[in-house]
Amino acid sequence: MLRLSRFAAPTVNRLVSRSIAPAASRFYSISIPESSPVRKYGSGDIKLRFSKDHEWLALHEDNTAFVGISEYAADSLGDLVYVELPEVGTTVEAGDSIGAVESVKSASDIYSPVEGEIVEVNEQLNSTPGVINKDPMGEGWFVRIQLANPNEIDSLLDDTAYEEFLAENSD
Amino acid sequence: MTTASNARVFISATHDPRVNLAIENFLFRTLSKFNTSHCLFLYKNSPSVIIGRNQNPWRECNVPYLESHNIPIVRRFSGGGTVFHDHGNYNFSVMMPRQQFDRDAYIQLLVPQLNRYAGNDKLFVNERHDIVNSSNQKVSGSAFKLVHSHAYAHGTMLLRSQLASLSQSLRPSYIGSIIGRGVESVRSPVANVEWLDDHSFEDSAIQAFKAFAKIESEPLPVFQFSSFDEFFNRCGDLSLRDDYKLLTTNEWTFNQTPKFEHKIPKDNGHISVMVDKGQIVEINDQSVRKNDFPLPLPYHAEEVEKYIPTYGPIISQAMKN
Repeated sequence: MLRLSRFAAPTVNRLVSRSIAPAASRFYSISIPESSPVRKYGSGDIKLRFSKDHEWLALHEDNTAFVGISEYAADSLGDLVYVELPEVGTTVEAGDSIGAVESVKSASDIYSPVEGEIVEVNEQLNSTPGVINKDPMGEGWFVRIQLANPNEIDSLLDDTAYEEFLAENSD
Repeated sequence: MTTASNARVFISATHDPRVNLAIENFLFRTLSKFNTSHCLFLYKNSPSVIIGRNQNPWRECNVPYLESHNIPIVRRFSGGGTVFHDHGNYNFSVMMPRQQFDRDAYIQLLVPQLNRYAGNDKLFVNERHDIVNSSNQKVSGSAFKLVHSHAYAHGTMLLRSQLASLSQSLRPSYIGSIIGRGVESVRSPVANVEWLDDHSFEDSAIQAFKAFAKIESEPLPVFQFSSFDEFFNRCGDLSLRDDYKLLTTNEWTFNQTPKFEHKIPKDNGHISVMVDKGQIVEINDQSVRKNDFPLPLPYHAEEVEKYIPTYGPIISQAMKN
């Protein structure tokens, strides 16, 4: 499943859109660090996806997924000073708000990229919201969601498509 | 390159803070729908206190004073601190694509436009993204919102605001201490820009907006409206009513407050009142723990007096001062 959707995008388009991306555009890491608790949660394959709202989602074999905000989103917000987490047990539709973050006078909402139930929230963020800036795809994970329909991730962007999306939207 | 066709300017002649903040949120939410890349919204509110998205109103302002003077408290959607609005304060809101988001970009263009009228008392942008006068008094405060692929920067502009009402409204009334997460305001000395009139401000805001959205020569249509209904009839979108409704609810204004503890001095120690979602969920006394009252109860002086015979008077007094 991962490989199919990953290579579905025509290679030619990918090269074209990369070549027109401005050389000066900042590089954003879009992979899960080796040390990330998101990686350590399970031993099987992890399917990594992104939303156009700059959230990432890492799906484990037990059909629960860690969700957080991408480095691009964390970077555009600046140093986070406040995080509002949802309650465990909340059920959400794709696109529903699952919390909020605030940096220097800037508020932003976090949206669930999928339908499901919140099964865990990263309480550590309450006392140290800045972790999201330092390690957005590691210690800065936001929630873990039990997916209602794991196939729903096919409608999200894989890492290559997200990279293209970032390049197209950073002129 | 932006053209006049995807940049819009709205000027509100209604002064209900809930209406203006609802319209601002609506304009922001529907930028893509109306094929808008940049939007400028100018509005004034009747006397009101506007708190940041993640703030505690009891910590930021004098809730009992505001209630008794019918000055509404409104929780906005952007971050940052608490501000006082009245007819002498002009608000500007600039919406843009997220990749153009920069906290200072618009006000850096606005300040030179304003300074055309300035004489010796020039304005400056400070490191907190606010505008200050030559005496370093704040005349404009800013706050920001980023959602999906859009962002806005909005701010106040003190022209002829009642500064005595401002300071009275923003002086908290509680006794003891309020401890909790959430964003605390940074208090600054403020001043009006006496030499600037409404018309000059509007003109400056629009000129700066044209420069910001890179609109060269085309005339920019300005849509003015004087009531919620007029705007609503023009946009014809029912969801605007939801934006408005949310802003009028206690759930949003008060109960959205992050969990906090109000510590009230008593004898040689204190009573601890825990408040979650605007409700008192626990009252702890150093010496005794009593649960002979119905909890949760709204964190409101009248309710507390009515339902908590033991601690009611001391707690309500600590809320009202």
